[in-house]
Amino acid sequence: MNFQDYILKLNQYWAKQGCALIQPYDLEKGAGTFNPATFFGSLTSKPNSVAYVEPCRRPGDARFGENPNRVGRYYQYQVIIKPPLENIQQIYLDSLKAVGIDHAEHDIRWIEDDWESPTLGASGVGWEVWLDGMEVTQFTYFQQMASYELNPISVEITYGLERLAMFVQKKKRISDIMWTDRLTWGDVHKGQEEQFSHYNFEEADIENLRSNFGHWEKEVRGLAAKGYYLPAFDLVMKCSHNFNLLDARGAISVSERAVLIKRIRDIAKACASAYVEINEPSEKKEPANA
Amino acid sequence: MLKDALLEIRIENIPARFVISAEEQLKKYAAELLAEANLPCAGIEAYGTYKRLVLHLTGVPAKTEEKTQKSYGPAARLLKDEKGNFTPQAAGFARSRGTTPDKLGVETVPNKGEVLVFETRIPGRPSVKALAEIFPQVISRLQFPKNMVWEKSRFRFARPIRSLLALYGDKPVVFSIAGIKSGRLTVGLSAKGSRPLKISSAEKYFKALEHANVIVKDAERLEMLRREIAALSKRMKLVVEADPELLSENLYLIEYPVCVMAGYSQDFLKLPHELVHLVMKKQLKFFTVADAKGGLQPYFVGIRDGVSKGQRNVEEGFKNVLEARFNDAFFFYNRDLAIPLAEFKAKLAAITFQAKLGTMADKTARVEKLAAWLCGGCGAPLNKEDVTAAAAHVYTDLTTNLVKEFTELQGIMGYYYARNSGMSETASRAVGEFYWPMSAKSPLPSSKEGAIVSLAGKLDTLASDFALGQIPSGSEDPHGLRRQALGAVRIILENGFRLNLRNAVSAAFDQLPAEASGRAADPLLDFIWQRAEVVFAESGYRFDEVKTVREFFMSGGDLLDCRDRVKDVNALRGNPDFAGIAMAFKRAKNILRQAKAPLSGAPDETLFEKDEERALYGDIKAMSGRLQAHVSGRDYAKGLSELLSIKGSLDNFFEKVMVMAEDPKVRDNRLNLIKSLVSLFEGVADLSQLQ
Repeated sequence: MNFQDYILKLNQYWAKQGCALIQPYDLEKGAGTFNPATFFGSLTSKPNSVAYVEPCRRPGDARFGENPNRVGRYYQYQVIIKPPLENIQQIYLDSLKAVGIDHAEHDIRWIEDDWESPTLGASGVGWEVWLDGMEVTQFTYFQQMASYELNPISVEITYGLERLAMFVQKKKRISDIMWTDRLTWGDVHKGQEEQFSHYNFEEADIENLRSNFGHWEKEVRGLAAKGYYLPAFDLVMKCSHNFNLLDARGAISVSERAVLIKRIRDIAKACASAYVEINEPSEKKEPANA
Repeated sequence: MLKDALLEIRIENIPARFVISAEEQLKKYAAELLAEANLPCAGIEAYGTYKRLVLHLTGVPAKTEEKTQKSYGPAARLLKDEKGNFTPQAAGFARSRGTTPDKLGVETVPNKGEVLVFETRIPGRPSVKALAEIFPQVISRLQFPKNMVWEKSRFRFARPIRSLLALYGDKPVVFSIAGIKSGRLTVGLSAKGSRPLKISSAEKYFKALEHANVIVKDAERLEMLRREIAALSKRMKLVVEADPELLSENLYLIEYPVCVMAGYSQDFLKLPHELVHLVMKKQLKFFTVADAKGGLQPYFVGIRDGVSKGQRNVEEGFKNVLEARFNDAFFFYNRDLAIPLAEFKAKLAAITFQAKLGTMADKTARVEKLAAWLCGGCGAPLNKEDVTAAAAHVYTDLTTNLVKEFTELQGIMGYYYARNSGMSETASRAVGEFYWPMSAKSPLPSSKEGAIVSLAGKLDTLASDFALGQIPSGSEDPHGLRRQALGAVRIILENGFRLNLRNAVSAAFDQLPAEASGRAADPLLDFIWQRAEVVFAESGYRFDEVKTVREFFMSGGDLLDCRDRVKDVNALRGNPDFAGIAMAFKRAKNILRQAKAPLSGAPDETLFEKDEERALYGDIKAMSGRLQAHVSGRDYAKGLSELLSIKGSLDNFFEKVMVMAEDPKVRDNRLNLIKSLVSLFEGVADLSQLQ
C-alpha cells in the first residue's frame, strides 16, 4: 500500500465512523492539536467528530535529510471524537486493519503516556500505541484545553503517517516510503529537508522572529477582546512556530523558554475565553488556574 | 449453600504501576464493606491485568447474617404499677416498637441502671442484594496516582471503565456506576479481537477467561512467564536475565505471555553496556541475554500479548526497533568520540545551572577549586593530578549528543568520554562515579581521588541551595539534598578523610557568585550533622551519645574524630562512676548557664576559701596536662578516664561549697573554677547530653 493510500483508507474508514473530513489548516504548526478544529472543537459542549491530515513542522527535528527517522516536516493523521465512543479502542484497532495491519499477526501495546502541551495549556490522559515495538499513534483523552476543564471529553487519535508507512512498507528511511507506485516521499519533498534545515538552524532572522512574536502577541489581545478569536488564533499559531524556530536557532535560554511558553499559553487562553464567551455564554466557565 | 462472588472491572489499558496497589485496595475495601453488611466469606482475593481488575470472594452464603438490634426504653421500674398492670409508659414504648408490653425485657445499662429493652431481629437479606451495594462502593473508593474523566457523570478513575461483570454464583449482581450497568459480559484477549464472553457463573470465570487466552491470576501469569523464559534459556544454552522489576512490568503489559526471541548485530556490543541495558530494559522492556559468565550476548527476549501467530512479524518488528535505537545511539556515540572533550566542556557555559548560580561552566569551576581545596584539607595521600583532571570534566558529558538523547546516562558516559580523551583510568572512573552514591546504601566512588571530586560536587550543590534559601523542610526536598549530604558523610567516613567541614563549607560558600551570597554555614553544617547522626545511630550508637559531640563538630571537629569520641563514650558508659560524673558535669553547666556572669578566666587561688575548692582546682591542674595529651593523641578513652578520676573531689566540692556566695568576688572565682572544668569536659565530649 502506498503512502497516499493510507490517507485514502483512513479517510474512508473515519468518514464511515461519522467523522467530517476537515482539510489541513494552512499555517505552520508543531502538531495537529493546533488545528482550530481541534483547539476550539474540544472547548464546546457540542458533539464533534472530525478527521484530517495535518502537515506538522518541528524545526528542531530537521536533520538536513540525513537522518533516516527524523525530519522537520511530516504528516499526522488526526481524529477527534466528542464524546468518545464506548468501544473507541476497538474502533481504532479496526482502523489499523483497514490499512492492512491485523492485530492477530502483530503485537500492539498501549504504553502509558499522558500528553501535555504547555503552550496550549492542554493536557490529557492516554497512551502511545506501539506496533511491534514501534510507536505509531498517540491516543489521548483530553482533560484540559487552554486551561479549561473540558466537558464533554474529546478523544484525540494521532497517527504518525510516516511511521505507519515505514512499518508496513518495511522501509528504513522516511524518504524511501513509496508515495505512489513511482514516487517516493523523498521525491515529493525533494530539497525541503535540506533547505529548511539551513533556514531553521542558520538563516532564520532571530531579531525578526522576536519582534514578530511581540507584535502578534499584542494583536491577539486586541482581536480576542473584540471577539475575533479565529484570526487571533492564527497569530497564536504563528507565535508558537516562531518560538520553535528561535529554539532551533539556539536563541532561547532556559529561563526565557519558560517565559515565552507562558506568553503563548496566555494568548491561547485569551482566544479560548473569547470563543467560549461567544459560543457558550450560558456555561459561564472559568479557566482553571494554570 | 456457599457460592463464589466475582467482580470484574474491565478498563482501557491501565498503567502497570497502578495495578498492584489497586489489588490491595480491592481486598481491603471489600473486607471492610462485607463486615459492615454482616456478610461473611471464606476468602477475599484480587487479581489484575492491564485491562481488568478482579475481586473474587469465595464461600459466600446466600444471605447476610441475621442480627439483633436492641432498643432501650424507660426505667425498668416503670414496667408495671403497684397493682401489677403495665404502665402507660411501658405500653407507649412497646407501641412505638410495634410490639406489646409483655414482649419487653429488662437490661442493666451503664449510667442508666435497669431499663426496659426490646430486641428486634433483623433477618438476613439476599447476598446478591448486599453485593449490589458493596461492589459499586468498592469501585468508588479505589485511589490511583492519577485519575481522569471520560463520560457524562464525570466519574473519576484511572482509565475509562468499559464493562462491569458482577456475579453471585450464577446470579447477576445488578448495579450501575460511571454510566455502565453491570452484567455477565466481558471480553477475551485483545489480540484475538476482544471477543465477547458470557460468563455463566462466578465459579466458571477463571476457566472461561483461560479458554479465551487470558490468565487473570497474577501469580499464575508470572509463573508461566518464568517458565517460558527458563525454557528459552535452556534452548539457547544462554541465560535470559530475568530482572525481577522487568518481569513485574511485563506481567502487567500482557494477559497471556508469549516470548519473542531474536538476535541483533554483534557490532552493537561495542556500545557501552550500560547503554545497551538502558535501551533494552528501560525503553523497550526487553530482557537481556548473557552467557554463563554474565557476558552480554547479542540477543533479546521481548514478551508479546497472547498469540504466537505472525511470530516472525513481531520478531522482525522488535529487532528493527531495537536496532534503530542502537543505530541512533551509535551515531551519537561515534560523533561524540570524535570531538575533543574541551569542545564539549566549552558548551557548559551555555547551560544555566540555576538562576543566580551561573552556568554549568561556573559550577564546574567551583567544583575544581573546591576539589583542590579538599585535597589539601582531607589529610589523605592522593594523586592530585587525577583529582584535577577529573574535576575539570565532571559535567562535560551533559553537552554530548548521546547524553542529550539518553539523559539517564549522565555521569556514566562521562567515564567513556574521559577514557577516550586519554585521561587515566582512575581519573576517568572518578568522572563516571561523580554522582555516586546513587542511594543510601549503594557504592561510593572507588578511589580516594574520585571520592574527593564527588564530595566537592556535593558540597557545592548543598552550599548553592542553602545560599538561595532552598533548604529542605519536612517531605519537601526537590533537589535531593538529604541524599547529597548523606553521600558526603559516607564518603568522608568511609575514606577516612580528616576534614574540618566547617572550613570546607565556608570555602564552598566563599566561591558562590555574589547574587547567591546568603551564607548559611551553620544551617548547612547542622543539616550535614543530622545525616551523620543517622549514620552513627546505624552503627549502633545511641542518639544521646552521638549528641555529645555535636558542638565539637559544629565548631570544626572532623567526623572521624566525632566517631572516635562517640565510640569511647559508648564504651565507658558501663563504668559505674560514669553516670555520676555526667550528672555532676550537667549540674556544673546548669550553674554556669543560670549565673550568666561574665567570666574573667582562670580562677585566682588566693580567693579560694574552702579546702574543697583548692582540692578540686589541684586535681584539675594535675589532670589537664594529661588530658590534653590524650586528646591530641585522639585517645578519648583515656581522656574520659582522666575526667572520671576527679569524681571524688568534684562531689566533695558540690557537697561543701556554695557556688553562689554572697561576696561577688568569691562567687565569680568559683564560677571560673567550674568554667575551667567544663572546658576540659567539652574538649572531649558534652556529657550533659546523656539521658
